[in-house]
Amino acid sequence: MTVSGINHFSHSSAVLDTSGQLALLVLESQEQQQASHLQDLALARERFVVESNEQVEAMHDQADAIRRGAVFQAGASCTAATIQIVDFLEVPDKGKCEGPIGEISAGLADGLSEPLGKWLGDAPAADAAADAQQHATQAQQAEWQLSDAKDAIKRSDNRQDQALQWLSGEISSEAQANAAIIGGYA
Amino acid sequence: MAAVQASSSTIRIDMPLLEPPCAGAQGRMLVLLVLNQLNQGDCERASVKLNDEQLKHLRELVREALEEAGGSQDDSGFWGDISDVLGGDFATLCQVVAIAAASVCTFGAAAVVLGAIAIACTVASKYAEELGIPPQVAVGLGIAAAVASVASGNVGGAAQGAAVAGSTAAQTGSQAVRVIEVAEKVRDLAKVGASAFSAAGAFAGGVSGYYAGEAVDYQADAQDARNQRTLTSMEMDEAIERLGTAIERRLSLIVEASQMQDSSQRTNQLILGATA
Repeated sequence: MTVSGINHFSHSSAVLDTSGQLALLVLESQEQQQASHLQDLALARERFVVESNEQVEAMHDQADAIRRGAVFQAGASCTAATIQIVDFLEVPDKGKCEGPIGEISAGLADGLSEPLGKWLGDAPAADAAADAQQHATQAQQAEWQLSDAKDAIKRSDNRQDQALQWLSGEISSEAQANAAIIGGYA
Repeated sequence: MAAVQASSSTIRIDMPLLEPPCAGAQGRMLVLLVLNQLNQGDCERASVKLNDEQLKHLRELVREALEEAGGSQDDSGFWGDISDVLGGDFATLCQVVAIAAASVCTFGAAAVVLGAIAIACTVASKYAEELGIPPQVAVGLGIAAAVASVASGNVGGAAQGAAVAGSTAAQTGSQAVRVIEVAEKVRDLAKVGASAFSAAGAFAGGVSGYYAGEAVDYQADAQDARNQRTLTSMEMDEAIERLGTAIERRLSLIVEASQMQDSSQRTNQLILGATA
């Protein structure tokens, strides 16, 4: 009823007595409060949507990290095994001693497979899981805010109804008084 | 919903009563307000219906995503078990055999010590979880095992050269040479076996990781649908509340209109009576 600070009730308040004007004031105040709660509701909803989307995104990142880690770990281990097998199958020339390059690189690849898996997979996945958890908590908080705003709007609605009833009673009693006066004159 | 529809249809039936031919400006305004509330009620009812359908669809989505996630989790567990058996137990056993055989065939004291370290580190890193070793330490042990294994083979290789040369010079075709040959074959076979099992285990581990990632992806989809369900459910609750409010307001407006009509009639009667 109140848009950009312009009081729309003020036109009708001229014909009301003090208690009627008071009822109008209460109504206006409740309208303003409701507008504020509605804004809170919209903000909380927006926050819930944003946090939920980020939570889901973080979970997808976690999945990607798990897959990436698995691929790198498996790749390093398979490389190590391939080097070892190739190294074994390679027969050195007579009189030449077999170099340790194969064994060293296989050992390195094998030893690096797990750290690689943890570095590229487990650690980012844990990070993403923590992010997802954080966003889930924030989404939960936004949900509580939504619920609070809805309750506040409901309370404001009830008060508005009460004020409207009061105003309606005032108007009808005034109408009755007018009717009685008209009747008396007649 | 049925109750809401029932009350709404009752109001619709009563609607003609609201339009008295001699209704004043206030009465007409009340009729307009009631019509407005009726329209709003219709909108809210449509919104509730839409939200209800969307909720059903989202519930189905959540169920499907959770089923898929469960399936992927099972697959991941299956391949993880295979990976553990191949890359863990079998490969470790082969490595232990290879290191032991390498120590036997080299006769090297340093190789034996390094071999023992390699065995201990290998076993400790493979069974870190069961032994309660932190992951970082397990990674360090894994690297240490690899280094010790390589060093054991190299030190052993040098010692082997000396031992073979010495033994060939001392007694050709003796028992020691045959033991060394057998140990060498065992070592090589064990190394190849360990490598093959490691590769198979790593492949199975990769497949397991892929399915684990898929499971998390499906869980994310389920969470997405759950979040949407929460929003839709909230919107539906709001629409139901607004519908209830519209019906209440409509009823109170009807009561107000009838009171207004009564009061107007009474005033008219009073005026007529007094005039008469």
